[in-house]
Amino acid sequence: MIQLIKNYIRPYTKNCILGALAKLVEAILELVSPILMAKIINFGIPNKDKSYIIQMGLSILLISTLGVISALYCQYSASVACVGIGGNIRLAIVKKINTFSYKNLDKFGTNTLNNILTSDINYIQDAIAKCIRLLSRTPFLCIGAIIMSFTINVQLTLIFLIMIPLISVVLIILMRLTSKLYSLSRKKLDELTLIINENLTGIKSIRSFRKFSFEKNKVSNKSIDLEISNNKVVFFSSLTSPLTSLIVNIGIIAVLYFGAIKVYNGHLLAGDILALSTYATKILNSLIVTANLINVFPKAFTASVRVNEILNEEPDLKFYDETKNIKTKNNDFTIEFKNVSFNLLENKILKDINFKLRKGETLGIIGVTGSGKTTLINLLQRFYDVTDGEILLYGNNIKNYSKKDLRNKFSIVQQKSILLSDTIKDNLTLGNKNVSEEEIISALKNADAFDFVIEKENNLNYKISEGANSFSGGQKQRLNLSRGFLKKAPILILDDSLSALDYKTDKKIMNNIKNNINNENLIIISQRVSSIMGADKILVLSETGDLVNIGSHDYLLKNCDIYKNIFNSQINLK
Amino acid sequence: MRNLKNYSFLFNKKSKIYISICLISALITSLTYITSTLYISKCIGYLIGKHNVNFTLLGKNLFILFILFLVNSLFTWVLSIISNKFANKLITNLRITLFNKLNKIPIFYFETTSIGNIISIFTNDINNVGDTISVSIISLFSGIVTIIICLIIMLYLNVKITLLVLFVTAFNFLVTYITSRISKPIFASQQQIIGDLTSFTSDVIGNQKLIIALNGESEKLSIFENINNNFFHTVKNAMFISAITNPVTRFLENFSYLLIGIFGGIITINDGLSIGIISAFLIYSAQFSKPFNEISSIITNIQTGFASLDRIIYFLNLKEDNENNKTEKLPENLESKINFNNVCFSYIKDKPLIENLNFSVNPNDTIAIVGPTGAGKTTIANLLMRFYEIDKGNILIDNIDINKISKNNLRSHIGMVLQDTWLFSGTIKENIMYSNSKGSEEDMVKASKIANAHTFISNLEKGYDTYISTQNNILSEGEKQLISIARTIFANPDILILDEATSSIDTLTEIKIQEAFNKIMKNKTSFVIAHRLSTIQNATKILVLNKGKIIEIGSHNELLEKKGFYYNLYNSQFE
Repeated sequence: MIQLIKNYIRPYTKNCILGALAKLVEAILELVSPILMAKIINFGIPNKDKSYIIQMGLSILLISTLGVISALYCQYSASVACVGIGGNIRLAIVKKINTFSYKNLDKFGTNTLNNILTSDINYIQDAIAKCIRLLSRTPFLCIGAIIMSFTINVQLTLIFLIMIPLISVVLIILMRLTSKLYSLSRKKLDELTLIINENLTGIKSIRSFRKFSFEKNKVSNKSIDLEISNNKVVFFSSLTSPLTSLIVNIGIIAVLYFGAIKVYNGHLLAGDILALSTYATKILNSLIVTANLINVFPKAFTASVRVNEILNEEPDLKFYDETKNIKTKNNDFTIEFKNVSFNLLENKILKDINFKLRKGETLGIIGVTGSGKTTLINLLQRFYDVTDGEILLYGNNIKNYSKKDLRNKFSIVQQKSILLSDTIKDNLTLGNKNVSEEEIISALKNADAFDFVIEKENNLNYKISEGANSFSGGQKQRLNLSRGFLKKAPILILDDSLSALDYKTDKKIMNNIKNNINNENLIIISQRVSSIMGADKILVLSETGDLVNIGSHDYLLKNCDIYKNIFNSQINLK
Repeated sequence: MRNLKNYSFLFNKKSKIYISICLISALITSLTYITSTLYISKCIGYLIGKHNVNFTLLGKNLFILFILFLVNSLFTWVLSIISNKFANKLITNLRITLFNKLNKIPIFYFETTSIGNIISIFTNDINNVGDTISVSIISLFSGIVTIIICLIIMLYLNVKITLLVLFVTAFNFLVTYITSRISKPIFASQQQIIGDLTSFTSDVIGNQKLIIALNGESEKLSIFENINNNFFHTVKNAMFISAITNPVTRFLENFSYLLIGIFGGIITINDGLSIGIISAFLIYSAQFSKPFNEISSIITNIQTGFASLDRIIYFLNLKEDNENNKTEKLPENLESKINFNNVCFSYIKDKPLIENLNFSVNPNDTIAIVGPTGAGKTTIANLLMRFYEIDKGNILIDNIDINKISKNNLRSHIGMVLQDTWLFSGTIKENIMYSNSKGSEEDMVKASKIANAHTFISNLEKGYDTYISTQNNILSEGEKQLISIARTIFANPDILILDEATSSIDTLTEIKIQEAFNKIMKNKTSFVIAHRLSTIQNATKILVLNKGKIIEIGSHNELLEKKGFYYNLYNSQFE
C-alpha cells in the first residue's frame, strides 16, 4: 500500500507532510490549555488576582485559536491530499484498462473493475485522510498527556500507564468479537437481499405458480434470523463505550484518592487533580479514535492489493504506434485465415482455421453455441491474439496495423445490445463522431429504428436511462445496428445481432444493408439459416471448434450433413 | 410539519414497553452521569490544602462515585441494547410488511420501475430508518434528560454563571447551525458527482469491450478525466466542510470553557464562592453543551431517515389489485374452453393496444400467436393470466368470467413458460419442484424427461442436487429454459401458455425445446407465442396479430392460401 501511495503522491506530498505537522501542533496546544486552567484555579482564584485570571484566559484563547487554525489547515490538506491521490490512482487505472485486451478484461471481470474504481479507491482515500488527521494525533496525544501528567506528578501518572493497556486490550477483544459477528450478519443480509432480488425479477413466475406465501415465509424467516444475529452484534458492540469509560472512571477515582494523599502531604494542589482527570478523558477519547482507525486499515490494505493487481497487469496485446509495412499493391483478398488456432485457458476454442474472403464477398458463419463463432471475429479484430497461424487483412498481417487503423477497418454489431446512459445521438455516434444529422436519420431508417426514435421525447436527444429499460430487446438491437452503420468501416460484422427481430424485419434490414449501406465486405454470424443462406461463403463450425465445411448455401446443403440438419430443423420443409 | 399519524403504523403495543425501558435507562444514565460530576467536584472540594483533607468524607464519596459510575455504565449498555433491539424489531416488521405489499401491487409497477430502486427501499431505506431510530433514541432521550438536569443543578448552584453558560451554548449552537446550512449544497453536489462517477464506471468500464470495438477509448478517457477532475474539486471541498465540524466544535468547547473559567472565576471572587463551584461549572457547562452538539450532528441522520421512511410509505400506499367479490370458482375438471369477447386493453391510457378482440378456443386446441414485435402477443397471455386487467369486454374459461374468480384459483389451472427464464438460487430439484408443493420426486424426473432436460441434468456431477445461481454459469441459456419448461410441466396445469424466448439459443438445444413444446401441447388447451415456424405449423389455429388486432386467423395451410400478411411473414425467410 505504501508503495502504491508513494507512486501517486505527487503533487500532494507537501499537503501530506504539512497536514500531519499541523495536526501535531494542534495536539500540543490542546495539551497546554488544561495546565493554564489549573493555574487559574490554583493561583488566580485563591489569590483573588483578576488580572492574572484574565492574562491566563487570554493565553488560553490564543492557544485555542492557534489550535483551531492548525486543525483546519490539517483538515484541508488531508482532504486535498487524499482525494487528489485517489483521483491519480483512479485515472491511472482507467488508462491501464484502456490498454487491456479482451483477455485482460476477462481476467478481472467488469464487476471487479467497477468495485475497484469506486469502493476500493474510497477505502484507500479514507485511510490516507485518517492517517493524516489522526495517526499523528493519537499517539502524540497519548504520550503527550502522559508526559504532561509526569510534570504534574510521577506517581499518579502510573495510574494512566495501567489504564492505557487495559483499555487497549478491551477494545481489541471487543472489536474482534463484533467484527466476526458483524460479517456473519452481513452475510445474512446479503442472502436476504438476494431472495428479494429474485422475487422482483421473478414476480411473474412466482405469481403464476402461486408461491407467494412460500416466498413470504422464506423472507420472514430470513428477516427474523437477521434480526437475531444483529441483536448479537449489538450486545457486544454496545459494550465498548460503557466498559472503557468505566475503566477511565475507576482511574479517575484512583487519581482522586491518591491525589488526595498528595494534597494532604502538600505535594499537589486541587487544580492539578482537575488537570489530571482532564488528561484521563483525553487519553480515553484518543484511544477510541485509534480503535476506529484500525478498522480502516485492513480494508484499505486489501483494496490496494487489488488496485496493484490491475496496475501491474501486463497488457496482453502490443500494438505498433504506426501501421507498418503496408504493401501498396492491390490485394484481391480482404481477409485470409492461415492455419489459425486459438486456445483460451488451456481450452482449444478454434482449431486450424483456413479460409479466404475476396473483396465484396459476404461471409456467413454458423454453428452451435461454443463453436467459436464470436471468437473467430474477435481474433480478426485482434481483441485476442491467435495462438497459432496468422490472419491477413488486405494481404498484411493484422499485427502490423496500429490499433486505430486496424479497428477503423471494422464495424461490429455485437451479440449483446448495449446502450450507454447517454442520449440516443451520443450512442449512435460512439464509433464515429463525424456524421451529419441526415446520416444518422438514414442509418436509423436502414435499421428500421426511425419510427420508434421519433416517438421518443426530444427524438435523437432522448436520454437513455441505465439499462435502457424504455426500449425492448428488438429496439435495442436496431439502435445497435444503426450505430454499426454509422461507423462506416469497410467491413461490417453482424454478430447474431438480429436475433430479437421477427423474420420480416430481419429480412427488411438485410435488404437495406444490401442496397443502402456502403461496405466492402459483410460478415454475418447467426443461428438462423435464413439470415446467412444468401452469403457467398458460409463457414460451418463444429462444437469442437473445427471448420467443418465452407461454401455456398447450395453447396453445403448437398455436401455438409451438419448444415443440412440445422437447415431442416429450422425450416422443416415437408 | 410532518403529520406524525402517518408513522403510527410503525409502532405496536410492545413498542411502548421498549420505549419505556429506554426512557428509564436514559433517565438513570443521565442522572448518574451528572451526579457523578457533582461528586467529583465535591471530592476535589475536600482537597483544600496541606494537612487539610477529610479522608473519611472523601472515602465515603469516592465509594458513592464508584457505585454511580458502575450504574451509569450498566444502564448505558442497557439503553444501547434495548434501543437497537427495538430498531431491529421494527425494521424486521417493516421488511415483512413491505414484502407482503409486493404481492398486492399490479405487475405494471414492476415492469415500469427499475428493480434497483425497489431493492434500495428494502435495503438502504430500511437500514436508514433503523439507524435513525436507534441513534436518535439514544441521543435524543439521554440528551434532553441531561440538558434538563444540568440546567436545574446549575441554576441551583449559581444563576449568574448559568446565564453565562446559556449564552455560550446558544452561540455554539448557532455556529454549528450556520455551518450545516452552508455545507448542504456542497453535499448535494458531492452526491451528484459521486453518482456521475459511478454511472460512468458501470456504463463505460462495464462495457469496455464495446468501447474497444468502436475505437472509443480516447474519447471516453477525456470524459473520464473531466469527471475525475470535477470529482476532485467537489469531493475535496465537501470532505473539508464535513471535517470542519469536529475542530470547530472543539474550539467552541474550549472557548466556552475559557469564558466560564475567566468570568466564573471573577464572579467567584466577587461573590466569595468556593473553588468547588467553579470547577463544577466547568464540568456542567461541558455536559450541558454536549447533547446539543450530538443532536445537531444527528439532524442530518434524522433527515435521511425521514426521507427513507417517506419512500417506504409511498411504496406501502401504492394502489393494490382489487381482489374482492371474486366468489366464483373454476370446476375441478376443466374442459378448457376459452372465449375472448370484445376485449379492449391499453397499458397507457389513451393509447389503446388491443381493441375489440374476439376469438374462441376449443378444448385441446393449440393456438399459435404470431405477429411483429409490439403487436400485443405477450399481452394476450398477460390478460389471460390476469397480470393485467382488461378495460372492456370479458374473457371466459368454460363460460366463467375470469374476472369473477380469484387470481389464485385462475392461476392454479394455467401453467406458463415465460419468455424470460427465471430460476432462483437453489438446487435444480428445488427449482423444478417449486411449481407444485404436492408432487413427488418421481414426477419431477418424469417432467424433466418430457422437457428433454433429464439427460443433461443427469450428466451434471451432482445431478438434480446441483446448486445454481446467477453467479455460477453452470447452465446455458437454453438449458435454463428447459428447466423452466420442466417446472411448468411438473405443475400439471389444464391450460398452457408458452412464450417462446427470443434470445439466441444454439440449434441443438433449440430442437430439444421444440420437441418438448410439441410433446406438452398435445391433449391440452395451449397457447404458444411463437417465433419459430415449426411450432406454428403444428398449431390447430394461428392468430396473426398486428397492432393489437387479429388480422388473420386459420390453420397454417389456410393462411398460406390466403396469401396475406402471414404468407409474407412466412416467406420472408426464404427470399
